[in-house]
Amino acid sequence: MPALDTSAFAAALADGACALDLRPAPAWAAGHIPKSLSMQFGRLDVVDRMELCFRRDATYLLVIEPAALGPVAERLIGDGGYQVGGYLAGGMTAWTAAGLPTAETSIVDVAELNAQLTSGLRVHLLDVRESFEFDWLRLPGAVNVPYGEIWDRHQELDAKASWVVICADQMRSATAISVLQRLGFERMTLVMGGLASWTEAGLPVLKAAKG
Amino acid sequence: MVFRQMIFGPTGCASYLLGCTKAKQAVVVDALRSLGIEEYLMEAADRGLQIVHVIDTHTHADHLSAGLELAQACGATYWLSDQTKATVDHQSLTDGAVVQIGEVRVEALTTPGHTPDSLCLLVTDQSRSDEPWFLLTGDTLFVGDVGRPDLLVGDRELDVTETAQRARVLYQSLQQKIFTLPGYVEIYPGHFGGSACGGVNMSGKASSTLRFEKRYNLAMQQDSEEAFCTFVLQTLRPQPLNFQQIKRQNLGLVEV
Repeated sequence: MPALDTSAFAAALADGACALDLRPAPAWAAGHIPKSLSMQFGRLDVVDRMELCFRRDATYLLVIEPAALGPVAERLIGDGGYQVGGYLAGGMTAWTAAGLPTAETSIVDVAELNAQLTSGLRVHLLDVRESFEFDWLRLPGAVNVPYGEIWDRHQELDAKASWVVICADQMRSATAISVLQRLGFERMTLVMGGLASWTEAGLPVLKAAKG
Repeated sequence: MVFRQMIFGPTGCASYLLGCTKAKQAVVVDALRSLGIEEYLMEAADRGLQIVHVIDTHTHADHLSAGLELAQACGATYWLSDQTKATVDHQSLTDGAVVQIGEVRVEALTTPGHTPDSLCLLVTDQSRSDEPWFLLTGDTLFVGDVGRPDLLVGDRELDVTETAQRARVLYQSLQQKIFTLPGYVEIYPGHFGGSACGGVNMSGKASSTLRFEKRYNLAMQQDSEEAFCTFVLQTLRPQPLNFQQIKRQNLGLVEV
């Protein structure tokens, strides 16, 4: 399977393939191919995480940097039983240089989020960690849909609302947002640093009572 | 911080990936062609790190460096000692120069001896302390042994110094630059075990502390510069296979 130049990549997307962006979440948020799914690459668990939330009946086209990792990612994800149609030669740099469309996802850091919450602004807060993590420690007012359950449970969420999405750092949030954007959610914000930064900053949380 | 010692067993080579988890950036030291650049790219990607600096501690004689190739693949800066004769595209590290990624500080110490362009890299994790934590010693100091001074390319212009002089300079680098650092500083060498880049006393264990080496490294037990030079030259292993050609390749003088 090949390194695809930008026009071949764009043509395959038009044919129904799905862009899978393997770069770290901050890079994805800053600029990505519209409707691409976000899943930060890691050789040990990328396929395990994909299995939680990505369908097997799609063909995936990879975006990864540095591009030298393209063949490695292709092999790993292909061995994991996913259909891979190639990877983007030259990465997002080539895509942008070719004048092809990109989308950004807005981000917020924990200090800004805390300011929004304490100002009394109505914030729809979605926590996409697993439910046991949510039960143990969460932000006041957050609702919990684990990122692997988004495809099945997105009807529980108001697609018209503006959502702020949080996880332990930002990897799962980015994945969840990318899935929700494919499902038609438009106003999504990613909390950079997630619960780890939130607790490190000493901001208020709800904790499970110790049993 | 992230610290990974990445070894290639058959030649007893050690390379290193250092990263700052906050800045999401990494430095790779002495990348090995035998491991392949993919290995470093994956190691960084697994932790969400971007490799922004690649350093070679000296012109290697026993293996091909992947430093330049890795730097090019990542768009990283490739650093060599300002004493190098390499013609490959690089930036120069002077004595005391600092490469900083987030809270990880890497200070270059010029420590000629094994080669005129040998560096040691003093690493401080400023998220824990402003005091240095460990020293990447390249081929200057090994666990149980020291670098060998006799691997000359055979070209006066490239070699700069002869074996006898290299041995003396090595002694001075060790005494003045390395063993003046605090004894608790850990050392992580460029080779271990049966590597042909040191002498017969090299340990198979690829880490130690300066204090332990000061006490038990036989080369450091010699009581004068002269005794040190004699000892080092008497405890050599056979030279690495094909080392002059390998050095020329690493210098960028012949195609790999």
